[in-house]
Amino acid sequence: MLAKTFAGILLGLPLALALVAVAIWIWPGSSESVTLPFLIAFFPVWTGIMGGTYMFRSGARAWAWLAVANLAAFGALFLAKHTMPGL
Amino acid sequence: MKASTIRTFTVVHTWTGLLAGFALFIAFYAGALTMFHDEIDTWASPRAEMARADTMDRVETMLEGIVATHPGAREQIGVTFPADHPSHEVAAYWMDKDGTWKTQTLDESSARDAEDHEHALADFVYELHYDLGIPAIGIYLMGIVSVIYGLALLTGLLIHLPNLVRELFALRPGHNLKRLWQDAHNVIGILSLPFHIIFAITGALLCLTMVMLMAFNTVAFDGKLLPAFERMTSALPETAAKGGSAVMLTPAELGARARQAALASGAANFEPDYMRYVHYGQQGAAAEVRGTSTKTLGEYGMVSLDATDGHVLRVQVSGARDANHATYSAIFGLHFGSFGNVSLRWLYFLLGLAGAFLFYSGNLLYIETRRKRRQAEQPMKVRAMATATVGVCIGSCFAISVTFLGNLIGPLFGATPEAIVQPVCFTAFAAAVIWTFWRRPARAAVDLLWATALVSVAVGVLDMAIHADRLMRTLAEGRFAVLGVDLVAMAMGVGFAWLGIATRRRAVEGDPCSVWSSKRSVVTSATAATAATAQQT
Repeated sequence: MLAKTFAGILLGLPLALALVAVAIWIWPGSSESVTLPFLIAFFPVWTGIMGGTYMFRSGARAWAWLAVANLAAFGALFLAKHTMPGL
Repeated sequence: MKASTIRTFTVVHTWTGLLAGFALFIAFYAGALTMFHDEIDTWASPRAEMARADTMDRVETMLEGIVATHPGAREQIGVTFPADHPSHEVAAYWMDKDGTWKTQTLDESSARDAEDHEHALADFVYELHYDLGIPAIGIYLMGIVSVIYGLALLTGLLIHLPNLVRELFALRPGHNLKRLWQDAHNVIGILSLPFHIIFAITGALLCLTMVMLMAFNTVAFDGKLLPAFERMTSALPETAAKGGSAVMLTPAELGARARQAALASGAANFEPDYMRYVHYGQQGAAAEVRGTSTKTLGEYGMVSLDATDGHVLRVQVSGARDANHATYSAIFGLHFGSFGNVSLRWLYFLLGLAGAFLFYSGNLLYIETRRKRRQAEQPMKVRAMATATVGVCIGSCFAISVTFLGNLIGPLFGATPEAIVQPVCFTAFAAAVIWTFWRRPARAAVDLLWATALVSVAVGVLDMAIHADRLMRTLAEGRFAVLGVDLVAMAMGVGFAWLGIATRRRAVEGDPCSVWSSKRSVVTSATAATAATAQQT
């Protein structure tokens, strides 16, 4: 249980950050015009991930899956940074 | 949902509640009072109220003086408008060359550090709300508490989702006190859920925005977010000083023009409450006037103008603003309950008190769930929880009431209220906690509730007696703030007395196998005495 908690806190934080950032980057049109409404989603998304982490069967699985999700999200962020017009 | 999942969420709900509950209790209680910040401020500082009618005329001279002695202020200097509230003082704010924020009010002849101001009562209660009175790190602590609170809400909702409708209006009074507490906890939690979601999100944002922005700025936007954030939240376009010197339009004039522009853009109304100049006294100077509009979720709007000729540069007011400005303004509107009239503030006040009850009842449920049914002496964790709950929760109610009393009678003994509210509050709080250890929670709860009741009633009664002339004058002018604070203080005193009676009844007549029974300590001390005698012989 403690392992899942820390997975949710430590890996959920960057995951939420990356997910929200990707959403802002790929928004069609001017990203800047919707940045604040999207940023508001950061804390709810992080909280949602923390809650969802308890659904994993074990702490190790939680860490593994969240690590994979982080890699994917930051990969997407990297792609978006290099292909999208930006703020 | 599987039973094991629900069990997991119950454990998470319990622990998040325990971790954040105490801080949230204080935040909600102080926050409920802060809904009437201006009324409390009027009540607390009769002197400031006498000095009303500060006009904007003297502001120009003050600003000229400031920029002459503090060249750093030319870059950017803000000034508050008196608005329609007597205790809103007119003050200038700017960042000095060494990076510290300075302020100077109309009545002061020189600048002082904006951070180390002494607290008036209303500001102090507000500060308790967002940083528990802990300097520097308190606000970040409350930000983390807000995140934990969000997790507690989510898990609480998931636990009760399956039985939501069936149990929503079940309030089962009877012999099983735990079930009554559980029902009350559930119904208040569920009915005020939207309100709690708002607070968990906006609370985290208000406390941690800078931290969050820094993270996004570095990780995701390569340094482009911070400048963009400035554009998203202000109405000032990029400006550059063009050197030379120029005559600035006065704040009053700029406020009036901003109001005109706001109304022309469709705002229902626009009351300037703060403005800032950039490049004061130079060519290319600009000004941004912030004002409040009604009939909108986000009451704050902004108009930027050229500070020399007054032509409007940009308008970001209700009805004429983009998603970013609307969102930014809505965060404040939702959190501070400023989007409605006085009845909304009362609703926020009641929901705030209900929220405090939610955290208190959560702790009681923890205690009731773990208590031993057949023995007088309860486990250590139950006793510790009971002590902490009484000491911190009831203790903070007591401390805040004592602070009001101190603010009232301090001046009679020559103390300035601003200097004593903080020490009085912290001393009273510490005394309450020590008292709870000393008397043990069952009796301390009754004592503290009665003491809070007595002090709260005294706050209202004494104010009416000491400041009778002011009460009469404000009533004659049709202002009810002072009377309102007196009456609410007395009403809350009655409420605390009622809680004190109920708690005492439980301590005397209730189940002796409980931390809330005062009989238990009699039993144990008698047992201890017998044991001691036995040992001696």
